[in-house]
Amino acid sequence: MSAIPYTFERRPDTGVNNVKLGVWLFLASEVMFFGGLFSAYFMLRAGATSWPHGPDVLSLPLGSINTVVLLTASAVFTVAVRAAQAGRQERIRRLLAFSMLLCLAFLGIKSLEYAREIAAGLVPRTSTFFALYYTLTAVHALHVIAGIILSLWLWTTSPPAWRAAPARVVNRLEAAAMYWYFVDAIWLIIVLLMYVA
Amino acid sequence: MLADPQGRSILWRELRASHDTVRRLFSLDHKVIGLQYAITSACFLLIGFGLMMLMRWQLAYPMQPIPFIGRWFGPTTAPGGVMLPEFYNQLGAMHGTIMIFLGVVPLSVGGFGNYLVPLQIGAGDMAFPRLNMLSYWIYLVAGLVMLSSFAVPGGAPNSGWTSYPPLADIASMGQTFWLAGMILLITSSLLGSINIIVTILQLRAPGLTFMRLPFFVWTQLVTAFLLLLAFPPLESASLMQLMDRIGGTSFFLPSGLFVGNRPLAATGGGNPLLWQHLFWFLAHPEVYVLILPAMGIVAEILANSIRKPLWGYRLMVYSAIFIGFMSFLVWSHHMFLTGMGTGMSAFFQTTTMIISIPSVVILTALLLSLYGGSIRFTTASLFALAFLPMFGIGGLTGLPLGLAASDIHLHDTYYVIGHFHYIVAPGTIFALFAGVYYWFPKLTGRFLDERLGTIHFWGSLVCMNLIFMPMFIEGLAGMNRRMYDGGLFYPHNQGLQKWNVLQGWSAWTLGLVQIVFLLNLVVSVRRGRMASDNPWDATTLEWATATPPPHGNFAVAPIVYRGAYEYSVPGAARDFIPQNEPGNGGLPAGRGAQPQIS
Amino acid sequence: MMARWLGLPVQASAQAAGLDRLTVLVHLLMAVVFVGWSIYFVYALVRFRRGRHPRADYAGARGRWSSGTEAAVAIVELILLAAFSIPAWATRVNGAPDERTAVVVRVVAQQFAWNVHYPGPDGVFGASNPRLIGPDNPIGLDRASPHAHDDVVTINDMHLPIGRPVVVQLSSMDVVHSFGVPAMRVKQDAIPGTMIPVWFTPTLEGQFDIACSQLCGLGHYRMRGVITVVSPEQFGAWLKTQ
Ligand code: HEA
Ligand code: HEA
Ligand code: CUA
Ligand SMILES: [Cu+2]
Repeated sequence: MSAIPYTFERRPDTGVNNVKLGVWLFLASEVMFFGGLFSAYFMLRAGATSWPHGPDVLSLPLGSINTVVLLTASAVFTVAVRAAQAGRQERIRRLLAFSMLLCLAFLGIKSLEYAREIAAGLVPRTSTFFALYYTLTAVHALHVIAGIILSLWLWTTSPPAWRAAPARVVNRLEAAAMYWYFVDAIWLIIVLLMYVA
Repeated sequence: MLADPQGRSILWRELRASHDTVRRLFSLDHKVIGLQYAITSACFLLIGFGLMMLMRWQLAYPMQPIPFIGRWFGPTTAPGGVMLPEFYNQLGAMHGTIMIFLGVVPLSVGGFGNYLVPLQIGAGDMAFPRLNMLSYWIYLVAGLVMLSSFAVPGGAPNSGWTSYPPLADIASMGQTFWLAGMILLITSSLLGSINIIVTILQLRAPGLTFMRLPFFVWTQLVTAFLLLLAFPPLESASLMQLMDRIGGTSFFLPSGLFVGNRPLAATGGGNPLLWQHLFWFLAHPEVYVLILPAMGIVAEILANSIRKPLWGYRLMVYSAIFIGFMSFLVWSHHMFLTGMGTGMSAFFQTTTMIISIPSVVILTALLLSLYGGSIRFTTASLFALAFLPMFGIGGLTGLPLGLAASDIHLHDTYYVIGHFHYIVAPGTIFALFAGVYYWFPKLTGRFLDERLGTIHFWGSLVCMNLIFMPMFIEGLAGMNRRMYDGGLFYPHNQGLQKWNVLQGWSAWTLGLVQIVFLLNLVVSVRRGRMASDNPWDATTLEWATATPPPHGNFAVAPIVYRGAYEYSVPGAARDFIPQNEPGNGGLPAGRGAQPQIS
Repeated sequence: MMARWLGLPVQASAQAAGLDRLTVLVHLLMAVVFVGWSIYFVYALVRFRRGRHPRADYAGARGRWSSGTEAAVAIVELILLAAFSIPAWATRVNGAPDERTAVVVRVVAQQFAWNVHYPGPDGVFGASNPRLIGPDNPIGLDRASPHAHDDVVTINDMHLPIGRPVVVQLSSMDVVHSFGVPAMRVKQDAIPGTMIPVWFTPTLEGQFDIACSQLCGLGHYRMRGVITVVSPEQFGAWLKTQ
């Protein structure tokens, strides 16, 4: 008795497999984590005497471009999942690579924004608005970096894993996709709260 | 680089040689990881206790040099052996932090949970062994980071385990270590809790339906959900406090602060209460994390030592789930005096009263279970039985704190300290002791010595009560907590000093009593009476495998046919029927168990 | 009576008796529950020990009196909540005395002292200016401002007339402190960035401690102020001498 059952096969009575359930739980905790940060946003904003208008101090164009880039990256990732589900293993790595590139582009643009803001003297200690802006976006960027590492891991392990059990690879990709959608969703909220409102 | 003929580096060969040790150290086996957790957290418990014994000296004999070891302290902590207030505050904050985050939770969840959950559900291991190992190592690093803060300038964190800003924002460097340690610790417990939940939901043996789970597994499940969902907000809060401290932000600093009559260089605009909300949003569920596994351990041991099923098992399960759910809705009862309006205080008082009911239900169920039993007084069951009235005292004294009007006088007095120590010390710690006496034979194949155990039990029971009972007297009389001089600065506390002396001596005696326990552990591992695979005639699955359980836990995957506590079934041949025993144990037809494979 | 038995401090304010009544009632509930259960517990331990009861009874306790006790505890808790605690809190928060008849004092907490600020005979507080804050003017009172000349500022020393409501407007300059007066059954955190009012009516002459009740640093333990409750005439005389 040693192999752990249900890592990627569904357990009939619970209807999920271990990896997916694990990712769901992880995302639940992430919701609480960002919930903490967002509640800070609302509490500080409610108590603030003045609050800058997002587009005046941040670059909405760059933010919008970045939104498109990030969403495209997840879309490409979704295509990779579809390819895996359709059994087209040869396409997986190419699509993963493309998705990773887009994520790198996202980080690049984000750094550009940071550079501009810092050059303009807008740093975390400038105001609670910027404290929140830098904290939220940096934490989000860390999530993007973690996602890139995850994709890289999938990129390197998928060929041998595919040979052993394609279903395992499909499951991993599906689980990773859930993570990416979460990262997208957080970004959209950040854009809404910081860049737009 | 040095290389051998095959071109592999010498270093590699060396590493290969130490491979076995490394493998054992970085084991993926949940039992090894559980033990690593248990031993590490027991060390932290001892450290936390040691800090406390120091504090009790200062409280009993304020401003008198600490005897014997006083000389070891430096001029920044206790010049001439006389403790400085800074150092007292460090000890207090670290005692609380270590006991809760590095001691009890890792022991009950990382240690007991890790070791027992897979065994009790008939699984080969945890669902994610690698994450499991990672979570232990992150925990260890977190603990070391926290401890190392004693060595930095300004010493360890000194703003209480609650770390309220602005005080914590402007505190010395130790606080940064606290925050870093906290972030690591939360990451570790996150990995651990995901693992436990997935393991329980997914790896249950065939036939082990939810209502057949041992109560201990249920408490671990609820606990894991609490850790999963309550800890992250504190992680974000710690991140923000870290930003305040090193990034110059003002999340928790309002505008216009003056420290020492000089303006504080900060932008301001923050809110100190934001921290308190985020902290207590974690810390209230956290207290149930401290108690639920303890209740689980007590339930297991009681059922076994009274030789009958638990009374109201289902009710207990629903209550545990309800506690878990409600514990997210009571956090502000720690903040009644922060300027709360009527509506909010009414809400939190009500939820607090509501959450006390499921605890009453669980306690009642455990107490009623005794009725009709055939009680065996082993050391394990003594500790488990003592848990009931001790938790009762701790829980009941939560009520005057939960009513905002009576909390006005009691808030931040020793009454609060007494309240929760009754729950965590003669409550949770006793449950953990009970668990050690009960499962030690499974781990090692040997019993702990019962005679030493009895000394340990009675010694601990008496000393703990002598420490914590007077706290209620002190609290009602208005003596505040976190008082460096034991409150002597105030005339109204003068008459209470005698209690401080009593508490001091009891605490040090308690320390001596623990030496008996440690001695028992060390001696019994080698020379204790031998134990069979199922020495307590128990029903749950951990006793259905070899002692100690092999790698992979079970030679044959077990199948479960019945509930967890089939003791003294009328008509059965023996007074217990293991969960995995097929057939109906000689029962009349119809009462037997179906395997219900699902 | 029972309040004495619990060891509560003297009741030096008008609200103390009411709050103590709740404290006493909760403790009565606790005592009843605990003693009741303890009697049963000891009985069960003796009656059902192995020697006396060698074979356990599978079914165990029967009957519904457990739900009965649980319901009883719940009901008593709800009564204490609805009939005592919530109303008491409502008066604490909403029942502010009329500021025209009350003594109004500002208290600014600071590591590790209580700065007490009286408006003086004109009944109006002078303005504070953060730039003036310094060792000898910890609250930065601007003596040049219109109503400031008669203001009285003391440190750790609060005099109050007996029988007149007091409104303390509480704030803090640095970290969180807590304005705790055990004898008055008053406690309120002083949170920097906010000003929170608390009120009470002293009913006993004498000296009572203000004990800082929130960890505020290394001097927390000695952050003590003294409230001296005197007759109205003495109070007026004291104000003049300041
Ligand atoms: C494991 C830990 C634990 C548990 C389980 C609890 C349980 C409860 N706690 Fe406690 N609490 C703490 C740990 C815990 N607490 C800590 C650590 C603090 C301080 C933090 C700090 O400030 O540093 C605190 C502080 C605290 C406060 C804030 C006080 C203040 O700062 O002013 C409040 C207020 O409402 C409160 C209330 C309660 C209530 C109503 C319960 C209820 O859930 C209790 C319900 C239980 C019962 C009602 C018992 C039932 C009893 C019987 C059925 C009788 C049995 C009798 C026999 C066997 C003889 N607690
Ligand atoms: C789980 C939490 C926990 C535990 C177990 C304890 C245990 C004890 N605590 Fe502590 N305490 C806190 C959590 C805890 N405490 C917190 C959160 C605070 C508030 C801090 C703050 O103000 O910020 C506090 C504060 C606090 C104070 C108030 C200080 C002050 O306000 O100035 C005091 C005073 O006496 C005290 C005393 C004790 C004593 C005598 C014990 C004894 O019961 C200790 C007994 C210890 C043991 C018996 C451990 C033995 C361990 C072994 C033998 C190892 C092997 C064990 C196994 C394998 C199971 N504690
Ligand atoms: Cu001021 Cu404690
Ligand atoms: Cu609580």
